[in-house]
Amino acid sequence: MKGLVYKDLRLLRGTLLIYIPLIILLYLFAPNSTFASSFTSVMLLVLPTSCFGVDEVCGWDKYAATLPAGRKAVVGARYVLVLLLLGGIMALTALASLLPQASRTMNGPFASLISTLAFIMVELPLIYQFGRKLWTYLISALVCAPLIFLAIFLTDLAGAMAWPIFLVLAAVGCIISYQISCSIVAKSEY
Amino acid sequence: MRNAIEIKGLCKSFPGFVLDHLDLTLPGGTILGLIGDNGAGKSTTIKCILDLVHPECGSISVWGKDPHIQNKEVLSQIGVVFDECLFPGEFRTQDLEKTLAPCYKDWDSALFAHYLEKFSLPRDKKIKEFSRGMKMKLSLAAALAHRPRLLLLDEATAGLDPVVRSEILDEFLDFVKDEDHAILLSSHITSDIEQAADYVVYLHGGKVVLSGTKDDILDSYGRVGCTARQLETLEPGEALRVRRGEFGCELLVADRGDFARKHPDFVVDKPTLDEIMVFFGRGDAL
Repeated sequence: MKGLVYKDLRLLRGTLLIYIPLIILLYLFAPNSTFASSFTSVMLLVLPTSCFGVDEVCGWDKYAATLPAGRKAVVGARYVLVLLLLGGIMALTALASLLPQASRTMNGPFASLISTLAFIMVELPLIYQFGRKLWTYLISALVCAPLIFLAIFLTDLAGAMAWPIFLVLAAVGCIISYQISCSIVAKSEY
Repeated sequence: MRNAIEIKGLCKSFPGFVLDHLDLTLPGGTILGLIGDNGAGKSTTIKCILDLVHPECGSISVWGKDPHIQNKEVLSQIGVVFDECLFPGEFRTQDLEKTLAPCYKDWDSALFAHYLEKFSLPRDKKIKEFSRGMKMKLSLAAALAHRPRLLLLDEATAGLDPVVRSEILDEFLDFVKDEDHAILLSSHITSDIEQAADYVVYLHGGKVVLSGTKDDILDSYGRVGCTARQLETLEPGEALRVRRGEFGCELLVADRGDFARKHPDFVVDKPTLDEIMVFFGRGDAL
C-alpha cells in the first residue's frame, strides 16, 4: 500500500506545492478563517477526485488490479491519501489558529473539514461503482447536505467538543465507506 | 515438468461474445503463442488468468494455484505486459520504481536498473515523453524486475518496429531458459509467434480451433492450390478449409505429407501461421 499512496502523492505534488502556500497566504491575509477553511475544504474535495481522473486516463486501475498488493490495498491507498490530506490540512488549520487574527475557536473550520470528509466518504464508493460522473457528485451532495447543516447546528451546541465528536463519527464513516468500496472493487472487471 | 498454466473448460461471455470451454496448458520452460483475430478471446483469456474478469465456468491454475482464491501468491509470480503502457505519464522511472517496489516482496532494484540500462531507457524523461517502443520496454522491465516465474504478454509487441520486437523476443527466449519459467504471449503478429513460441493455440470466435506444438503444426499442415474441378474430386474431410478465388482454390489440409501421397497431382506447400489464420478466418469448411 505504501507504494500506491506514494503514487497518488507524487501525482499531486505539483498541485500541493501551489495549494499549500496559497492556504498559508489565505490564513494570513483573509478577512476571516471561514474563507480559508472553505477553500481548504474544496481542496480536500478536489484532490482525491483528480487522482481518479489520472488513473482513468492512463488505465492504471487495470494494472493496479494485477499487483499482488490486492484490490483492498489499492482502494485502501486512496482512503489513506484522503486521511493524509485531511491530517495535513487540519495541521495547517491548527497552526493558523495561533495567528493573532484567528478566531478564538477553530470549531467552524474543523467541522467544515470533517463535513467535507463525510462527503468524500459517500462519494468514493459511488465513484468506484459508477465512475466520475456528474450525478455521482450530485448524489453525494444530496446525501451530505443534511449532514453538513447538522454539523453546523451541532457545532454551536457542542462548542469545543464538536470537532472531536465529528472526528469519531467520520472515522466510523471511513471504515464503512472503505468496506463498501472494497466490495464494489472486488466484483469489478477490467 | 510442472505446468505453469492449466485451463480447463473456461467460459466467459460478454454481450456479443462467448469464450467457449477453452482448454489450454502451458508447460514450464516453454513459450505459448496465443493467436487469433481481433475479438477472438485472447485478452479475455489473459484477464481470466489475472483474475481481472470473473469466468462463468471452468478452472484455472497457475503453478498449481487458483488465481481467484490465492490471488496474492499467484500475482506475485506473474509479470504482465499489456498492449499499452498503463503507467502515469507524469512519472519518471524512479517514481515507477518507488510505486511498484513496495508491492512486490522480490522486487530487485539492481535488476530494474539493469533492464533500464539494457533497454537504454532514460531516467530523466517523463513516461509520456517516451516513444511507444520505449514504453513497452519499460513495461517489460517493470514486469521482469520482481523476478516472476510467469510472463503474460497481451499484444505486447503490437505497433513496435522490427528492431525493438527482435530485442524483446530475445529477452523472452532468455527468460524461459529453465523449466521454472514460462511465457504466454498473445499476439496477432504471427511472425513473432513463429520466431519464439514452442506451442501455439489459435482462437477463433471464442473457441480453440488449433492447438499443438508450433513445429508439429508447421510441419504437418499444408496449403494446397487446385482448380475447382480438382476440388470436386476430393473426399469430404480430406481438407479442413477452402478459399475459392477467381482463378482457382486454396485448401488447408491437416497432413500435407499424407495428402501429397494421395494426390500427387496437387501442389502442396508449407503454410505460415498467418495463412492458417486466414484460412480459418476467411475460408469455408469443406
